[in-house]
Amino acid sequence: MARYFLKRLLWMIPIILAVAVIVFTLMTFCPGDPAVIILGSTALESDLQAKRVELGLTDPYFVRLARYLSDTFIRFDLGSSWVTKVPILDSIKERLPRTIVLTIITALISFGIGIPLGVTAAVHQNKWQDHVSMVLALLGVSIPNFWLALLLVLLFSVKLKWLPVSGVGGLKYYILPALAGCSGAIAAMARQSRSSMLDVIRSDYITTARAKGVPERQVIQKHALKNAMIPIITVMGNQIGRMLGGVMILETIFSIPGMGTLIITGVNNRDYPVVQTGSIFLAIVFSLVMLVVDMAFAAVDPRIKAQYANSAKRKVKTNG
Amino acid sequence: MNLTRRDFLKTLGIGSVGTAAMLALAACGGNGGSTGTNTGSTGSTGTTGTTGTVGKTADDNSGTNITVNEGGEEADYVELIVGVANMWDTPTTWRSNIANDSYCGRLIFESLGQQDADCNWVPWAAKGWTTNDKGFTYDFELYDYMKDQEGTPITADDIVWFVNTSIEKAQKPNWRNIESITATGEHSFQVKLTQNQVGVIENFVFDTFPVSRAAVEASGDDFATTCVSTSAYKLVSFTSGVEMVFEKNPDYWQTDLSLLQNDVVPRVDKVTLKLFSEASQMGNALEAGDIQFAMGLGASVAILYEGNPDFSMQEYTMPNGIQLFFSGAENMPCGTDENLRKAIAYCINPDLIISSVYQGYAGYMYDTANEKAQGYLQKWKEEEYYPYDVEKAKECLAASNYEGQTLIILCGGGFKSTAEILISAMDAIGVKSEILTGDMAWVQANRLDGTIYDMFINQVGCVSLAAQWSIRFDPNGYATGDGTSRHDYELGELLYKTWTQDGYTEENIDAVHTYIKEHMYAYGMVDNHVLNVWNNNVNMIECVNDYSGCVRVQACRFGK
Repeated sequence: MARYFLKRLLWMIPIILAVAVIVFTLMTFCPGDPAVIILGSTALESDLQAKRVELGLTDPYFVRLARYLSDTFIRFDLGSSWVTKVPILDSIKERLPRTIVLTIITALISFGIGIPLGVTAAVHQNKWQDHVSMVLALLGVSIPNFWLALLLVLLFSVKLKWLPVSGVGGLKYYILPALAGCSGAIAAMARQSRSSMLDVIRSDYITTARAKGVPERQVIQKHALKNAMIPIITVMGNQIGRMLGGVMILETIFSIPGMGTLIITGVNNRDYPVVQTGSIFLAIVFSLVMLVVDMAFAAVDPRIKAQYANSAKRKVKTNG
Repeated sequence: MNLTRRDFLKTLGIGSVGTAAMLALAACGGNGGSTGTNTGSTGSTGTTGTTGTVGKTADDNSGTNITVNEGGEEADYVELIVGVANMWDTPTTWRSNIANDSYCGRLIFESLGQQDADCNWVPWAAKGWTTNDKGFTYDFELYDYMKDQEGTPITADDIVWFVNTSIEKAQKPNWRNIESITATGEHSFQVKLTQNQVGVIENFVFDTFPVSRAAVEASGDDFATTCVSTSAYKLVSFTSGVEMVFEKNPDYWQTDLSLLQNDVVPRVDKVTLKLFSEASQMGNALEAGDIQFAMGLGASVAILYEGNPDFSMQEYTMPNGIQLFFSGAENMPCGTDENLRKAIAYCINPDLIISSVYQGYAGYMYDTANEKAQGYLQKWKEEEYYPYDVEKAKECLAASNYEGQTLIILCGGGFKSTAEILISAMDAIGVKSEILTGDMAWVQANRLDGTIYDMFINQVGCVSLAAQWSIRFDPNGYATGDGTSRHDYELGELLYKTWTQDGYTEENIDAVHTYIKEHMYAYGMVDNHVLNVWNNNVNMIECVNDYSGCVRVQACRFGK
């Protein structure tokens, strides 16, 4: 297992390097002049040119790329925002936790509702519970996040005055954004859970367990659900990835200064260092999430564990 | 549960529709919920106008309806939460994204000078300034007791250092015409300008913040995360992109408050600014009571509060407006065809833009600048300025060389509705057009390239007409000519005459205005207004506005 973990960890290095190069290249060649943004609409050509020289924008692409990679990965100097002058590491330290908290809460609600909904639908296939679950799943997929977000604000903040409209503070500030953000994920989890459970429930070993008189609750929870979890975990990983990216809209609506708004503002301002570093950090977080998902696979699926255990044994034999 | 499939589907259908309707009704009812209910205003309602204030009176604006409880007993301690549409990402003096005159800016820093009620430039943190040589050299004097929030005295050396550092950092082009700045005493300094253009020293006094060099250097990040200024308010908490919390500085250096303009006198004890990047969310927060003031509320949201007795509404104008700049490039149909440009100007119906895009909260324009620009001549309002006239537009079109080309309208996302109205207007006279748009950075990067568009919708404003015209019509301003790729040196000569204080005469100003108008290089479409709304439960007993007519919350008086 340690080898598996190490291998996956090492894979992150080329992935992050590739993300860095791709984002740098995209930002370099996308239209828009940072000097114009920084100096504003009253700047004349002489001002603009001086700013371009100061930012190193007049250097060739490969010189800039080499400087960027060396600063970031060799000197670990992430620099400061061209627009706000705030050190990027400080911005990320402040904002990344908010994005992660929002993602975790959204994920917990999504998985906490979506999986039981799917399991219930599968266990009660073609009964009213199944229909209700699937209609809810369909609604979840169909409702746009931003629309639901505004409606939830009108209901829970404006009308009932239970929750704040926007901003950051305690956990209550994350409830509406998380609820708005989880509808699609609940639907996806419910549908995937139902489908996986149905596959497993029809298996011979489940029939055997039932024939042996194992209580139905135990059959579902211990035998069926555990085996159905492998595809569900895959979807969970993907959903967390989508949430990390999707929180940008929610962060904007709810004025949550997280990584999403940092990167969006950076793109709008052509603040290259912010976008490049922000993207790298999101790539790292996503890679770590996928690593956890893969580790969960190994924990749930004995075949993966066995594969690495056998390979280690073979090595010991060869050496012996 | 013995439900048949048919019964189940029926129940489910009714339930879903019912739930959705309840949710929608409950939610949508929120906005109208406060109508007709008194939320605690103890004063007389319907009183308009301000009492003893500096700045424009409320009566100047049609949408303004401010409730002021005149004569009420002033509260001992006042704490307010204010929603704003934009906020600095950082308190540093050298950030660049939002203008210095944003709402938070005036709380974070003091300037050397500011505009009074009549738009004249008067001292604020500076004691005063004089000029003896036609505006090329200015001698400034500082109060010898000025100190920052940590008690560090501010000297002329600090100001000199601040200005030189700002020039060196080249963060904003506000210092373009400063030749030199030197300390002439511990509390006096001299500024020499390369050009005595109207507006240069005004920009200088407004953009120069008195800060201690030692405090900036001690911060380690140029005040990017913390700030020590001379302001009457301390920034006690700052969450970038969310809120700024200010508390009145009990040791404010200016002890003689009578020396201050009324709109910068610190009266409120604590002010929290909350940022709302999504327009309707600010309205929701106001309705929910999360904020008491909504500054710069979007017209489509603000209109919901018009006539609502529980809320005050203020409408005012900033020195900009919405302009249509025509390309000056020879490869574009509009670049060389004056009659085509005039045809387009005549076919635009400002009333339609005012009512449909700005919900009625906008006015007419008679130049590319609005009347807040220094030097604006009121007589222009009496002149004919391309009134909406389809027949005249068709006449001009017939006299033009237009051959059915599709004209390109460059605009940012915020002006797409206006551009769509423009397309319909041109379509009505037989001119084809389409929108060319991108994100803000892309539009900004392309706005100077008149070879890719026929028209560019923009919102720009400067202190003076000379500055405003120069950024678009100075033929030597950019590598491609003027700001629209035009090379009109005749206009340039007229413009340069207005660049000196002696030359900034009515005659010279009028000459530039007339030249631009007659050649239709640009058309001032509408002057969009800014809207502030606040809950009357704040119990305002004196409303204090700044030069533009915008309420300055921290300077207002509030009752118990």
